[in-house]
Amino acid sequence: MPIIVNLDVMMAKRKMSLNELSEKVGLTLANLSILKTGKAKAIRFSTLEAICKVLDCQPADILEYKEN
Amino acid sequence: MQTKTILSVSKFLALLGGIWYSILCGSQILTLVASFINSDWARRTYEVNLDIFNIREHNIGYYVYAMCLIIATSALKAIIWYGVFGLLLKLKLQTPFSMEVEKKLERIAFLLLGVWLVSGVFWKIYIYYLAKETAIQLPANSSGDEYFFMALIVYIISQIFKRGIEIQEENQLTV
Repeated sequence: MPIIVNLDVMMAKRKMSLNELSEKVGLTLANLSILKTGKAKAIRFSTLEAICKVLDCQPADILEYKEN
Repeated sequence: MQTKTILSVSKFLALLGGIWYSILCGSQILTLVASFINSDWARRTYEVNLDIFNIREHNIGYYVYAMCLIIATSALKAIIWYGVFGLLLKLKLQTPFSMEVEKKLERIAFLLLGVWLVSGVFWKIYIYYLAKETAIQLPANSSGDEYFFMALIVYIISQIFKRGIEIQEENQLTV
C-alpha cells in the first residue's frame, strides 16, 4: 500500500513505548501493533485524533503517501 | 438448530452422492475394459445404452470416445459431490466466511462447468458427427445445459462470498 504509517518514528521521538501508548490512547496492543506494522486497512478519525493528542503531533507526522 | 440439521443431512447426502457416482464411474471403466475382453459379458453387465455397443461394432474409435465422455461425466460428478462434502465439513456456522470455503465454492463452479462441457457441448458435437458419419442416432444429453446454469450461479455465489471475506478482513483490520 502506498500509505506508510510512521507511528514507530513518532513513538521513538516522544520516547514512548507501545504499552504506554496503548494505555493512553485506549487501543488494544494487538490493534496498535496492526497499525504500527502497516497491516491496517483503515484508521478511524477518532483513533487518529487520540494518537495525535497523546503524541502531540499532526496526522501527517504519522501517515505518509509514497508512490510504489 | 434447523440449519444445523439441514447441513448435517446435506453432508450425508453429498457423501452418498460421491460414493454413488464413484461406483457408477468404476462400473463404466470396468465395462470399457471388459468390452475388449468379452463384448457379450460387458453388454449384459452394464447397459449404458445399447446403441453405444452398436457403435463398437461399427467403429471402435467412436465407441471409446463415447465411453470416455460418459466416464469423464461420472468422474466429474463424483468429484463435485466429494467437493460439496469437503465444503460442508469445513463450513463453520460461527465463522462461515473463510477463504478456504470460497476456494472450494470456486472449484465446484469450475467442475460444474467441466460437466457442462463434457456432457453438454462435447457430447452434442460427438452425436452430430456420429450421425453424419455413420447415420447412428444417439440421444442428446438433455441435462448438459443445466450444469452451465448451476456453474454460473455457484461462481456468482463464490464471488459474493469472496467480497464478504474482503469486507470482513477490512473490518478486522480497521483500528
